[in-house]
Amino acid sequence: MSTDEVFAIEVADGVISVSGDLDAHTAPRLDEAIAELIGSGAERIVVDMAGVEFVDSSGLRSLIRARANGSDEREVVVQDPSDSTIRLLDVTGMTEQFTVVSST
Amino acid sequence: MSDMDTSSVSARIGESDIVRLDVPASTEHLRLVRLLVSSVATAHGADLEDLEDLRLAAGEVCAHAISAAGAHDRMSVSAAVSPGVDDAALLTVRASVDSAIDPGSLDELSSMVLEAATDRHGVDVDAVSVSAWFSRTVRSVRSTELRVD
Repeated sequence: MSTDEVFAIEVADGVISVSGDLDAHTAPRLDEAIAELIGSGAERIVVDMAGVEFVDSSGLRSLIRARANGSDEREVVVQDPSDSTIRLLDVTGMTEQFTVVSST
Repeated sequence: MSDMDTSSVSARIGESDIVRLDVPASTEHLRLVRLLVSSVATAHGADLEDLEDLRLAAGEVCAHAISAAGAHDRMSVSAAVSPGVDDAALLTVRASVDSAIDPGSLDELSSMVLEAATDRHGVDVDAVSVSAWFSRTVRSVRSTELRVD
């Protein structure tokens, strides 16, 4: 029963949609998707977290890395985070570093 | 034989409950560890907030232990429940690898997560092993709900 079995990631229309558990095992796949989006010229990164059931500090590090843009900082939108994701951002003091939006 | 075929779980029930999981020291098995810890905590009446914190903390200590492991090393994870104060249970989770590699201190993010999600946490390193651990009080929802005065 590995994390892979319940993890999926998709890049479409400038949005990275993640589902399943985002942890030390799966976060590199988010890194790849972010790199793909940046490579396509995206000026901001939108990560749809609605399907994420669990996220730990590894997933958060991927989002933090996505902000790095040379000497500047890129906007990273965290879309539809779960309560546990919001809590993780809160306890690590990272909430202000992202644009958090909820579609509901 | 896959890695999963070589995992094992053992349990001892007595004054304290101990469940042990032995898996390859790979991030691939973090979900399994989280499920184990959730199951033990649920059996002791943990509420949803407890479970979220315990899953989070379990991943952090295991990821740190794995960072000290070699490619073919194994990780032993134990979840021990002992009596706490005021009908609470104390859950201690320890992730250990036999390794002479010192992974160093927890990084800042992991430390903040463990500070928020646990009562105590630490990393024990000696010449042949590395153990990352945490403990957290679990208030039993079940015992509270069933109490009749």
